[in-house]
Amino acid sequence: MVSVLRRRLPLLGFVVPAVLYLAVFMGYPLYYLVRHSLQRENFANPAEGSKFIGLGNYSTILHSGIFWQSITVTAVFAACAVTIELLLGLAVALLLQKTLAGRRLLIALFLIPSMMMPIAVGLMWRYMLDDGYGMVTYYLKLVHVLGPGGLISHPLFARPWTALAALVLADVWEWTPFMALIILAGLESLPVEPYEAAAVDGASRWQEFWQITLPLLNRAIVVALLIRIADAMRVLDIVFVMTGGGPGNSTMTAQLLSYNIGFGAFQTGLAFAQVILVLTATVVVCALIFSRLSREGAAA
Amino acid sequence: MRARRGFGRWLPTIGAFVVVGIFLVPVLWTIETSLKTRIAAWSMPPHWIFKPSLANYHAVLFDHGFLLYLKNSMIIAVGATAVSLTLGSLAAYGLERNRFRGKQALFFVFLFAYMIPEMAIALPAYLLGVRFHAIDTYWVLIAMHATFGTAFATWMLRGFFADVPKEVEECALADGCTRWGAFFRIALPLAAPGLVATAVFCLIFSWNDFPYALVLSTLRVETLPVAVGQLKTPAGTAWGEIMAVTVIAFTPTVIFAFLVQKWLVRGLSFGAVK
Repeated sequence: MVSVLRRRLPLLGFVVPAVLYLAVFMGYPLYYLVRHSLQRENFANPAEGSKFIGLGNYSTILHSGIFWQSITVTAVFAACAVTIELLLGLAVALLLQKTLAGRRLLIALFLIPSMMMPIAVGLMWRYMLDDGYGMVTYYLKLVHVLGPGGLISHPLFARPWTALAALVLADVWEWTPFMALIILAGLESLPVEPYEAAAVDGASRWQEFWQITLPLLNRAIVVALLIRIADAMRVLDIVFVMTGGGPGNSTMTAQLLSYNIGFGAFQTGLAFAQVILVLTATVVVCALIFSRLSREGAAA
Repeated sequence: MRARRGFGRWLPTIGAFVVVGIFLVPVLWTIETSLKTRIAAWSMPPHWIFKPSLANYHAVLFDHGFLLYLKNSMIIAVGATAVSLTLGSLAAYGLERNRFRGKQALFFVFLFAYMIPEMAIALPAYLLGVRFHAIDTYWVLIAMHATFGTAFATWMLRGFFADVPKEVEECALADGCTRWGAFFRIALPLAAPGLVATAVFCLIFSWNDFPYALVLSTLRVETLPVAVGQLKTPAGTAWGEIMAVTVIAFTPTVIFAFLVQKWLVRGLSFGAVK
């Protein structure tokens, strides 16, 4: 026992600094978050003092329309963006896998969007989709998708659904390469035996894809999905610069609302309660997706 | 897998080039716009060929003070990376060599930490920072960026240390080398490529961060992402200048990504896909 301790104690010593660091700089703010979510506070007016009100803030948040609206917007955004990224990423990964020349160069270039600063991506798309000076808008007007008499006659950022679609577009552009790269790595590590067996059994390409490739890719896809869903649920940067939550509050995402309540209105207690509710929702969604997908993978 | 014959087998290659080309059009357009004059940036139809000018770069760097924001972003990114790597490499080594079980569990803890919206930490940190007079200093942003950085570095480096053979260290330990010595003289040098890759990711995370910087920096330590948003004014948006900052902001990350291309998948998937 003593010798085991002597061998292990120095090793545990290696872990202590990081644990202490995270306890102070992550743990303490989180503790503060939970404790003060139970208090009525207005940072802008400290004279009011703070008062313990139990779950009062949670109740206020759960009864507010804007909270549910922000949850809906965030969920729709996340669902649309991540689904498109997954399908597009899978398609591109399959293309890249069969690419005969210049693959390394293609991958390097394709990754540029995912490496870019999200705030820069938002500004870039805001400019390209600008009603007056946007390059993309100009060509969409030429083919009568946009503009008077077109499919969409109003400026993109003037209506809720098109503004949300613009956000999804920017997100898809930035993160499809990420999705494709992870799936490609999964594709490249697939064993060859199942394919040989399938060829012997005379399986079609289509069967091969659905019955072998997809189930074997399960792990890569689940990891990529979880990371992207977590990202999308706390999207802030591109919304901040592309729509600012507008028009009205129609693209107000969950984290932008946290910022507005906590930093704009300085109702910190309310903002804390809202953040905790959003975090809970994110964790539940991710846990559901994980348990669902990994079970299907195991069964396949 | 069965291969198509003749021209057909080149179809995926052509398709891949077309898709990547389409994805790069916005980047090309951003670079082009950054080289345009204000009038050219606002002219319709869009001009693809024009006489380039560096006026926007000159304006943002010297008139709008972006040299300062650039400096701030660099100091914070380097500081946060240094803290993350130091703490992370120690913790990763301790966990990995301690006949460590529950890797899966630790990954989920890490993933949970990743799901926490930045505001959940940034807003309390702001209130605490006000109390301790730490707002608008490099320290507060370095400390905050290093929280995610430390968790990430610990997780990533654990994988890299696992790839380093244990035998050499065990010999050294048997010869009377301390754990400390084994870590510094053997494990760390052998895991050097992993350290570099992890460092690059920490740099990119800090460099690209917007939410923490938005809440915790006001004037003196404002970083690039926060400052660039402010070029969008009601008086008219100087798109050329914004695109110039955008180019300045993404160039280093793209170069870094090229340098660590080999470990890109591992880093982006947080070590879950190799």
